Amino acid sequence: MEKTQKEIQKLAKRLLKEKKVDLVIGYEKSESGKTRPFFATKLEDTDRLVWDKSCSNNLAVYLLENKEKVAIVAKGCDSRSILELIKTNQIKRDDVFIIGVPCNGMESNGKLLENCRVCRYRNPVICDVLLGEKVEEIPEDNYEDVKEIESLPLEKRLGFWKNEFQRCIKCFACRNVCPMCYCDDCILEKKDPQWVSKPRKKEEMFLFHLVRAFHTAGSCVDCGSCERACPVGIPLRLLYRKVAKDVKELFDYEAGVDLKEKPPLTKFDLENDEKL
Amino acid sequence: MKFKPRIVAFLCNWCSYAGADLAGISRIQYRPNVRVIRVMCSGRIDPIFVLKSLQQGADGVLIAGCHPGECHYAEGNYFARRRFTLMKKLIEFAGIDPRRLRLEWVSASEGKKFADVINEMTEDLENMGSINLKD
Amino acid sequence: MKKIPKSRIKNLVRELEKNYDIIAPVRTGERVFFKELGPDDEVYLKSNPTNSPKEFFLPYSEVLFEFKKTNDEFELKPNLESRERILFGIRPCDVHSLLLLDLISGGEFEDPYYKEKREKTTLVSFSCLEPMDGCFCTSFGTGPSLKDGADLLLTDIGDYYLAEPFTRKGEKIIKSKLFENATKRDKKIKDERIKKAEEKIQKLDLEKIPEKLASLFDDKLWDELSKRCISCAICTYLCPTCYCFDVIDEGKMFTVDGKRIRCWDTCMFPSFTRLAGGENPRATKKERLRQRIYHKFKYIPDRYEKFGCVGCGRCVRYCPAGIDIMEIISQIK
Repeated sequence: MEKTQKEIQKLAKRLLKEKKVDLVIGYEKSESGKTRPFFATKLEDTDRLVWDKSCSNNLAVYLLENKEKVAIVAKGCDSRSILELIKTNQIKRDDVFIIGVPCNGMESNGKLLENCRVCRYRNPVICDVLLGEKVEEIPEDNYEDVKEIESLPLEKRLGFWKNEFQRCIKCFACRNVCPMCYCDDCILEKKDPQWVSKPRKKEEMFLFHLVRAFHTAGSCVDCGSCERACPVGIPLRLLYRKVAKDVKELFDYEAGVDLKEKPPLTKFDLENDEKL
Repeated sequence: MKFKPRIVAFLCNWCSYAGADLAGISRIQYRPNVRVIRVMCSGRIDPIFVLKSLQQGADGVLIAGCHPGECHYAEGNYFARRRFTLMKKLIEFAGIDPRRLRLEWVSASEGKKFADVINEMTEDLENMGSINLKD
Repeated sequence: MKKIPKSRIKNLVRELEKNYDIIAPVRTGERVFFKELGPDDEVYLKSNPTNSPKEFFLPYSEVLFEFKKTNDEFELKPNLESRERILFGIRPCDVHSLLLLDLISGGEFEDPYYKEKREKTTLVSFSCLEPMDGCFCTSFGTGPSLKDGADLLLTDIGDYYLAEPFTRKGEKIIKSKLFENATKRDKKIKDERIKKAEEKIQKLDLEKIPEKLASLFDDKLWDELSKRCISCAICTYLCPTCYCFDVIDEGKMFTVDGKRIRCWDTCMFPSFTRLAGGENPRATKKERLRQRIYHKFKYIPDRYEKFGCVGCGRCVRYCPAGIDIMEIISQIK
């Protein structure tokens, strides 16, 4: 990974020097040792770029507001987000230079992150340059965590989610950190009509989270940023993975894989849908 | 007092609303536990409507549209079909009985079918009881 | 000065539960939260909870009053009924946050809702001997221990907690038979441990920060610092001194019958300063982050002669984008 870090720095320097891009989005380490997003605009900035097992943030979220020509360091999951953003016309392919880096999983406190454990796209699916050796992909994801909840009786499931949602403080971190939540006028924040009121009502928390889960259908790439951002530890990935599992089973669609495939809820397939 | 379920029914203007109207004109008796909201097409229904209805106190939500192939706007019900199949699975995962959300195709001549669906759904909901999303 | 064996803390809590509601840190999975103790909850004192105690004085949402129109008159029913409770396990930084909120909620236009809850709460504080990632209390003089501010201070001195009451409420608690007499030696152990804890915490010099900030308003450093912000509400909602709120009326349709509710709001949301007509003076992240720093390190000190931050470290620990408020301050220096 040391080698890849140097390659990233070198490439970033070259891109900025040749004015191919105005900004390189990557990772840096703060003084206290925390890895976080970094925005390099000057040549000397590029020495701060790092690459190691703590680079877990999904940087694609920053593409939405940076309208200049941008280079971005992208792992497998990040590249899938970028592909989806291109597919949904949020960014133009020519405006982004994707520095693809194969990834064997990110860690936190020495432990492999949950979403990395089940990741099936460790090599970037779209990139302009691939830095580093391609890594082996693991086979099918069994969705064990989702199945565990599915096996609980209905009452228990409701109790489980009530318990989790009651901690939610509506900080919107899950939504803000997600690259696929790009709506200017988020339905969860709308005042007219108002679906979710400002005071935190227990029954409204179901609405909030289930609507968000539904809106990730066909978009979520399971980068895990939402669950990591949540300050109160709600198991968001369980919900979004359930939706992704159903989207795969019902519509045979996976987010961030095929640029030409239309999102599943914007189309229909008469033959396939008969069985719904 | 016996539990009286409340169904919110989103009916599309061209087929299912007309079908419900036909049930009324034909004097077909059906359970009164339904509140109808007319929309132009079943494809207009956003999953948030379903969740908001349940949160506000509805015990069940019915979405009725034209039969596939007969949508007044050609494709609206195809999208509704995809959306609500997915939605049903999601609410089931969250612990809400999936029978509370029902997607039905009711044409303008199927007054009897509409009545049957309401009767059936009301009975199901009576057995299920009301949802408690609060505590 | 008394002391209580660590093994008896559980008994102390059970005893206090008879007359008070207890709010204490409880562990849920891998996280710790302040919450009202339920019958199966156990107090967990090894880390400062994720949420701050402000939510028990300035709740996430509270009904200010109910209103009803009968004939042509309006009936207002204010909502001022809290119960006596003990905030057990609050750390010195959070105690100082309450002292700051006292200043802000007091003054010429007092907040009666905050005041009532504050008067009905007894603070049993624990000195902080193991600082967490992001803690900066020593820079503000808000920790790791207290000279006053709480009702009772407990400090870990080995097998015992040294108990020092600061008020009558505190003295009442240590009258319990669970406490034993403490010696000068116990006090010495406490002082040594506090000193050791102080050394572990990074201390920043905050001299002249308000003045420095006065000249940096238009500096481009705010553009760079705010780039990674995602405009969520984590820093403000978890902050023990952030108090911004919104007021909403909720009522039934077609009758004048409802409630006025006050709930948390955050300056980090773009809509916070959106005006009728669509103008927004803080439309971008740069302005919002700058506002947050200025509020805590200039506007509040200018007005109350105390910093608006107590160095609890929550915003540093939980920011998804790795923004570090103390790093920003040291850059300003």
